[in-house]
Amino acid sequence: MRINRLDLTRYGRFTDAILDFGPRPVGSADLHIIYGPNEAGKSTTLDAILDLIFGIGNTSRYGFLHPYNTMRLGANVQVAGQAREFVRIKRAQNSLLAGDERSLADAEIRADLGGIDRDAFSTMFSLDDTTLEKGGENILASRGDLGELLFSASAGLSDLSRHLVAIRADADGFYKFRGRSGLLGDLKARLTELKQKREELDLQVTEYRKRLTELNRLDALYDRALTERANTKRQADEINRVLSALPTMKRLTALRDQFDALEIVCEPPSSWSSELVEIRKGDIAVRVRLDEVGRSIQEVEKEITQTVDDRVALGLSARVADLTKILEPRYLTALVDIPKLSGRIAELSVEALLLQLGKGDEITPARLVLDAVTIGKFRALITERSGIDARLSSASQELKRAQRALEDEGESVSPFEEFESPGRINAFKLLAATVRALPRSDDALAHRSLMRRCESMDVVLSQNLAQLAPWRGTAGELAMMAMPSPAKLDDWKSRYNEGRDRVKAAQADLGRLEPEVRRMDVEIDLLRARAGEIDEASVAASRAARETAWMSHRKTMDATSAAAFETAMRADDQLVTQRLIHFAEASKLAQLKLTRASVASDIEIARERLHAAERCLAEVRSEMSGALAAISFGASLDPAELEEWIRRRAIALRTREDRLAIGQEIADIRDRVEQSKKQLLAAMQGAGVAGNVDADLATLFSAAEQELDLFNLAMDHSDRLRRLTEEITERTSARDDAMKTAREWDASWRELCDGCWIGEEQQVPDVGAVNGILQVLEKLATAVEARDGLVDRVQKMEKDRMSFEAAVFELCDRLKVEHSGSPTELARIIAERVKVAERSQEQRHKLAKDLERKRESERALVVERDIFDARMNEMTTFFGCVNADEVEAHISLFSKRQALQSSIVELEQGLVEISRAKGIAEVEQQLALADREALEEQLEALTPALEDQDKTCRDLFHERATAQKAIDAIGGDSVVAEIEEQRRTLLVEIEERAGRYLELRAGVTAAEQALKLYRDRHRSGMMTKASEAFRTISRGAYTGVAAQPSRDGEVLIAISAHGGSKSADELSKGARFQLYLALRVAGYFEFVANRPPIPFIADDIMETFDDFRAEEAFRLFAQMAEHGQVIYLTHHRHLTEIAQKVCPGVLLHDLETIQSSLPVKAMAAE
Amino acid sequence: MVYRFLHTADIHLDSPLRTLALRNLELSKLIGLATRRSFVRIVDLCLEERVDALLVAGDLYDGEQTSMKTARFLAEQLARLHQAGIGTFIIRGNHDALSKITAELVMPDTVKVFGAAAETTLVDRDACHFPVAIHGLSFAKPHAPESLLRNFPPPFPDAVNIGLLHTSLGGSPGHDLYAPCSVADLQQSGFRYWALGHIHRRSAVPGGASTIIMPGIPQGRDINEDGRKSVSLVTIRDDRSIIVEERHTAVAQFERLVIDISQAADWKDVVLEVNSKLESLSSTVSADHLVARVELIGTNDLAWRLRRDTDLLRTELELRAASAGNIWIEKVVASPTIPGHSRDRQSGALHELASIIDEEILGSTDYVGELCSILDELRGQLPAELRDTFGRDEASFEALASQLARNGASQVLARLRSGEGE
Repeated sequence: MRINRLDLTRYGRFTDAILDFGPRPVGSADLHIIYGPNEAGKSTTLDAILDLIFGIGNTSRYGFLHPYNTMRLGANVQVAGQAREFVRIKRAQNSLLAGDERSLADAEIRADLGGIDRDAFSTMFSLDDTTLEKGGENILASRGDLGELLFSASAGLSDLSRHLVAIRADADGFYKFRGRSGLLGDLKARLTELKQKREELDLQVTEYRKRLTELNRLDALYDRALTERANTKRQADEINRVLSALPTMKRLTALRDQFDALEIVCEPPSSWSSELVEIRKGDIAVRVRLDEVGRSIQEVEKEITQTVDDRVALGLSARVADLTKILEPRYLTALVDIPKLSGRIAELSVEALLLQLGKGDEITPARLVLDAVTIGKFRALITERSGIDARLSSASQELKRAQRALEDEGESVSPFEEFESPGRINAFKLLAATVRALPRSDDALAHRSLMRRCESMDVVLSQNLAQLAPWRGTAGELAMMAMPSPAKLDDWKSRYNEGRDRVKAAQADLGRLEPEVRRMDVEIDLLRARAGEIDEASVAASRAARETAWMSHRKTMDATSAAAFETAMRADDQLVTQRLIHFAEASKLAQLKLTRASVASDIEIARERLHAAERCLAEVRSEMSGALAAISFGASLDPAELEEWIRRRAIALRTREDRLAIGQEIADIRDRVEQSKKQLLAAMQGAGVAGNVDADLATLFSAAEQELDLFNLAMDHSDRLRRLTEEITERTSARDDAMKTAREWDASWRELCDGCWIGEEQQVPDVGAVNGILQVLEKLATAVEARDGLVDRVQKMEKDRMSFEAAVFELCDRLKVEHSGSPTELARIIAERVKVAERSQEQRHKLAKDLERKRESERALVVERDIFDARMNEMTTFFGCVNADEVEAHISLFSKRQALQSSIVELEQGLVEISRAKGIAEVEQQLALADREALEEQLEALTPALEDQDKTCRDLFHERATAQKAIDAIGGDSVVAEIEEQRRTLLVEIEERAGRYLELRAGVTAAEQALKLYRDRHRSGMMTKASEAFRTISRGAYTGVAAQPSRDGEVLIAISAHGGSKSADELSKGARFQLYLALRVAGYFEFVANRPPIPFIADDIMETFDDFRAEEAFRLFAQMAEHGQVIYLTHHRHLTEIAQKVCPGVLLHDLETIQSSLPVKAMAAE
Repeated sequence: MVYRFLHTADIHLDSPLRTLALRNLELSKLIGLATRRSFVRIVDLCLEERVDALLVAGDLYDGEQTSMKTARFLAEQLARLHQAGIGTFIIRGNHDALSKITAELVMPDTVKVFGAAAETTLVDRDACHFPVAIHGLSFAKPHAPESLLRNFPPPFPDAVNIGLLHTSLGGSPGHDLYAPCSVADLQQSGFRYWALGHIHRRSAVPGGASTIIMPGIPQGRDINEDGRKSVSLVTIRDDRSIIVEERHTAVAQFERLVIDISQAADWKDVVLEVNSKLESLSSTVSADHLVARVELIGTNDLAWRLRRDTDLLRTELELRAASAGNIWIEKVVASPTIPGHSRDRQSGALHELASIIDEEILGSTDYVGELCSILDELRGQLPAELRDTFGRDEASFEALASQLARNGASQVLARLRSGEGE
């Protein structure tokens, strides 16, 4: 995880501030220093990073400027291998958004954190004074398993143990040693329950066998009881039968006697008894009806003779009908209509019409009526006439108007004759086309503006060239100049920078070392001054002098030598004594000299480095000036300046190119104008228009246009004259046509008038007269036609009246009726006569039919009577008797015999059945022997025995049924099978869960054991790392840390350089903080060793560190920054310098700059 | 006239299904009592097809089956055949050799239960049809180490001879040795058809002198009896040729569905993949219900999550399967692994922990010792029926222990890993 950019959009004091950490640097440490004085927002930045990753807390204290609901952080974060945009707003849920405002799971931004929570992160990797100390104290205070603590924090698996406990709990849910509850117990309980249920419901084989045996026993007992009971019952039944047969036998004997007493009769057909009744009833009815029919025949015959027959009237009935239905209505109509029609004839005024026509004396008015053809022709001509008149008058008017127009225009000669030749017209047309075709663009305008731009460009170019000082020359020379390649330039740059850095470093070393040498020199001098010549050399010299003196004294052994030796010895002793006195100074002196020598050598080395670096710089410079000999820069040319010069040269060259381009454009415009002018002049010459060759294009254009206007005017005038002349010709011919048509019409009119009576007059009538005549003629034709129709109808009616009267009188004569009364009354009398005659004829017909029917039924009745007589005769003959009553007596006797016979047979059969005998004879024999009383006694004795046996049977039956029911109750149902199935499923479940339990337990155990091993191993790695870090930060004051077993587990102790050890709480505050930091550094290295890197952020945690320790701390940070992003926030300027010194690649961010750029941004936004 | 009969064996009536799927009450209603229902269907099939006889070649029940209800049920079903004039020929197998419940039952006249001595029944047929002789032999003990073939009488001359025999043939894994004999011996017996029983997976030797059919169990009872199960409908035609048709009467069919999920991109993919495989498998199943054990293999980044959330996956699959109506999940076994590239990426503490477990813990004596004590403790708590599930003693447990430990470690690591990711 790496923060590439942090947007403090609305957070705390920040508005739209952006901290851009840039991409991860390649090849150098990813270390960032954020500098800001107090109140610049360092802590805010630290918290912003935490809030970005873990969410803005409920009661955030950064809502003072921007209210909670507007707070917003953004970032570009490298996470899980890709750079992603994130936004964090303050909200209870879904507060993490993607760049496109889509909400994201928090895990997305924390993917690389390995489950570290906010607390752990701020304790380990996001430090300020407080957390550094508090976290450190926690580590110390825990006094527990230090390895675990370190491990937890570094591996991000602080929850590991908790998870393992949860898994173990999961397993224990199934079964736990000595646990009271658990699934296994429940399942077992259910098993037991099912087993019990099964036992209640099921029937096993052995039990079944027992029940079956019992059933068989009961079966046998029941069968025996049944047999005994049946025997007793049979005996009793036998006695009962005999007893019940005795009364029946007695009745049978009585019936037999009765039967024998009856007379024997022949057996008649069975239907006779009913037939006899019917015959006797039918015979009487037939005779009564015969009498009735005879009487009614006589009555009808009498009525026929009384009816009249008027044959004359009947013969005339057709004519009378004709008279009343046809002739009489016509007669009546004629009487009414004749006077009415005569009146209407008189009303018609044919004469008046004739007078209107001036033909009062016309005898046959019909002659005057014109046929339809003639009338049609008249009407057509009349219509046509009005059109002809209109045409004639309009043609004349238009002709006059045209003539007037021509006069107005003036028929004089055209003032524009000079243009009339075709050659000139063509030349003018060409001129017009040329004027149209030539572009009248803003060339002149463009030309002017380009000239102005050209001038200003020249100025810019000369300025640009001036910028290139000290180089002097023209733009052309500049363009031709050879330039070093960008790669070469980069090379120079890097080498130059490197050289410069090295020079700086060497100078810094010298600056530090040289004063130190001087200090030492002074110190040595002082020591020397204080202790005299006590250094090794003078001691050695004195010792040598003493030895020499001794040697010479041994040789000579005289007083001189002795004195010399004594002096030498004393001097030596003196020196030794001096040395003994100043021994401490001496050793310090020696130490100082040693140190001075070493520092002097360092200085030498630094000087050499300085020279080498300077040489390197000189080399680069000489290379540069060699490559750019033409420019003659000063000796102190640096590649950055060179690069700047090259950039300016590029600008100058670009300006030159632009200038050239504009020059080209100006030339183009000039060429275009010349060309146009040439074309225009040629065209003008052709049209005879004078044009000044030296005039400019615009002047030429206006001259040409003026001439063209004149030409166009002339053309228009001649066009108008031509059109008017043509129009007059046209109009004259139209008028002549109209007059000719009028003449033709007059001829037709006359001809038509001559063809009818209208032409009889001397003068041919005009259109108006004929129109009047035609209207009167229409009325006349109608009147004549109506009069003729009426006269015809009056004549026909007269004829009808006469024919009716003749017919009436004739019929009166035929029927001998007197002619007294009107013909209509007579006609009614005649009709009445005929009607009466017809009615009596009809009456006679009806009576004759009635008579015929009655005679027919009389004949049928006679036949019926004969049949009855014949059947009666048959019966009397059969029985040999005379009348119907006797026949009836015979039949009833026969019926009685038959009834007796059947009763006897029935009784006999009953007896045979009761006695179970073969025939009635056997029965009679048995019963004859039976003694009633003896039998009754026997029966009485049997009854109680039978009752006993009945009870036994019933009891046994009940017992047997119960047993059978018990067996049947087993049934083939599936209850037990279902229970078995449930039991099996439970067992499978237990097996399954037990397997899982074992797996989980096995897994948890393995994980626990592995975890222990893992911790042991990593603890030592962590301790080593922490020791190294502590040694580095403390600049060797402490060699490391160690864990020491104690009463409560382990405690952390610091090992000092002198070999002593101190527990952490005994350390000075500075040393303690260094230890705390060392632990974090170790943790960081442990964390990133095997997983994606995460940022490490610290906010001024080095308050208690001196500069040297701070330097070492930064060195560690730089090492950490090789793995991941390290951000250090500080308000100490000198710390930034130290950081830069330790790690030249460090990136500095100034919070104040970020802040000061804000108003600009805000304004831009507004 | 043809002679038709239905041949089945190993009915194991009222032997319950052995599957966790029955915990689902809905499913339990649908496929519970499957052996019973399947037997009812066999009888239905006899009636529908109007066969002449039903042949049951042993193991009508399990040995421990002592409920008279089962026997009564059998009698009821056979009575249906009796009413339709269909004969039943039964021999006992190793499982029902000692069964007392058959003996107590009064069977209809048309049911012939062969005794311990070989017997021959000549089927009552018109003189104009070819005669049929059915031979059978029930061995009265649950163990028959030697071939029973020699106890059979010689074939009835001129008749079609049918033999009923419960045999393990040459031996079959998962089945006790019982009256072993070879196919060649059977072929030489002179019998036209051998109706065998005992091995639960169907096998057939058609053609040859003798048609030999081992019909297999008609209703599989657990995942080890997976696949399509059937009974044989046999027709002997007038020319004495034999046609054997397979018919299915199973209510439920167990199937293992092994799915490589290496290609699945996410959880949903896995679910969809499994679901579609389930649906296509379901379309090939002849029984009413498919009861599937889903085994996920392959390599996938989801491996840890799948191991941890197997229950969740199972629930999700069940929900989807429920919409199909006849698909049921017996169990979901997830054993996929993390792909190599992810493993490399997965460095860090847990990775190291995993390798410590793998390389140093699992094989250590301490660890195995602790596992054994955990098991001993649990064994004492298990119901009597399950005491031997995890090995009869410590020695047999050790073989199991390594598997348990490996699975357990994977499971725990998967949960720790997902805990880390949360």
